Amino acid sequence: MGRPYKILMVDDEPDFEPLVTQRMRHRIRPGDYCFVFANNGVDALDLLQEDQDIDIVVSDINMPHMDGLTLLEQIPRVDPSVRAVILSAYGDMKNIRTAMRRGAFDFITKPIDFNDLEETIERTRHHLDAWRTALSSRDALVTAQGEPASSVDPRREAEN
Amino acid sequence: MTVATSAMKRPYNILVVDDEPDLEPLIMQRMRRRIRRGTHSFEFANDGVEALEKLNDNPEIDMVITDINMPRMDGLTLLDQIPNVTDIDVRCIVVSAYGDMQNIRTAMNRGAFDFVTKPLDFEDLQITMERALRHLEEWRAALSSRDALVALQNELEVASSTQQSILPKTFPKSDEYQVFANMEPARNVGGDFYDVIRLESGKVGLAIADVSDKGVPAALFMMSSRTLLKGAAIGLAEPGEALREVNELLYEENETMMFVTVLYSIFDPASGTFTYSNGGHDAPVLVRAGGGAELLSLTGGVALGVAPDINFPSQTIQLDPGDTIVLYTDGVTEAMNGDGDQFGVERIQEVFEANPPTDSEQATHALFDAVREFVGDTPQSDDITCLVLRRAQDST
Repeated sequence: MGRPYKILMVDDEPDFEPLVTQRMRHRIRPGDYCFVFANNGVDALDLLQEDQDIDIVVSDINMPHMDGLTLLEQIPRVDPSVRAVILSAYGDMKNIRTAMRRGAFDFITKPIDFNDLEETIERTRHHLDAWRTALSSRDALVTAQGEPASSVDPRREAEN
Repeated sequence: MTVATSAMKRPYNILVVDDEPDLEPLIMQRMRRRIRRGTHSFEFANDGVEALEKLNDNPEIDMVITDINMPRMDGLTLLDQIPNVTDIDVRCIVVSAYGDMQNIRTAMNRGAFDFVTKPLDFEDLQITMERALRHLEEWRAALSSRDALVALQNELEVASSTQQSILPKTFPKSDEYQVFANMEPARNVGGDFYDVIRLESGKVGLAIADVSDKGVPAALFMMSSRTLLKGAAIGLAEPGEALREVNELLYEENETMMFVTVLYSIFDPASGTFTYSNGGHDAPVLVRAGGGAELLSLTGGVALGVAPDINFPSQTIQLDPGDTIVLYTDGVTEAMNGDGDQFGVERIQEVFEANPPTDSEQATHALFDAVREFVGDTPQSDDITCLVLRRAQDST
């Protein structure tokens, strides 16, 4: 197994970090997952910019400075290979639909069902792995054909 | 991978699964523009069982839009079953009751791409549909690269063995002299080559060369360079003249703007003279029988294929019994270790100063071993080629 999956959790609630760390410890301890935390969209984008290893962003919607729906739109500009999962209030269909249309990979409702979160992270991870394998064979193809690599980041096209 | 070309190919086949009879005319009506343009076509099934039958019959279905509550087999069970249908690659959209979070979450975790709610908002459905199809298109493009890569790798293997097969594998070994050479390509096919050409009066032509590029184009250029050089070598008695002719021929038909550096030499075992001419290649190393390794001076020629009417001066030196000439490509000198240091020409000299060559084959292996030890786990980035000529110790 490679490095742990790095998940950026974005929420302005102060007890969010200890809760996630506690409930996900069975994934953190064996080195499956590694969590980083941000309080709002602006901080989240900063972290994404700094840390190229982040695989998945799980973000709340209502936050100060920059909300989760705006963050969703900004993520592909910073790192097109990242997948996003949105945290929404239970039954908040309007925001969920907006998030999905803006390219969220999936959504989770609050209060967080941690089994659902884990299942969703796993699905996202399988999806990302498949993408990366396919994209790396495309890169290998370009190299093997002896052509200069495209200046367009192929991952950007993978975004919805 | 362009989504824009979708209008030119077959329509997207969308299977709509719902037990409400009103849905079919409604979809056909709301999607009529897409259907008329030929970009989308719709099929209908009344429940999960019928949907699976249609999926089994038609591997060209791209998308499933399914209701959840249906007789015989519901939408959530259908989602579970779809991965068991072979030869299909579909995206699924689930239609759920508004706010039915539990079913929506189950559907998503069973692999639905997205969901829409009832009563159907056709704008949302269309956006969701297009997003899913775009996703599918991108995924298929990525998969086709993977397939193309496998196909190309198979072809490269054939190309590589063809290329390797034209490099001489048996070398002259007489009482007077021995030759040995080896090339290790960085990729399946390489741009380096060497050649050993038997000439009249017992002379032997020795060439080493490096094409500017890598991969298939370089391999093709290498093949034609090698053929031209062989032809010129047999016709012309002087290395510089042979390079001049090869340069003219390569330049005439060089639309790819590639070039090749060549060191071509002729050894005369009778006299022990070694005459060489350099077309932009690295200087040969001469290892003296009495010890010490020196770089031979360059002769001033440039790489072949770039410009016409170029002179390639030749130079002749005398090889004493036991003297060794080492020809190599920059894959040797520029081989890099984990710290980013290059092997360099001094290390070639050191290898042979520390262990004077006893035999051309042994000397070739010694150099390859030294390079391998130097680079360690660092991946090879260029072809590595070396050719060694040794005048026998007891030749007179």
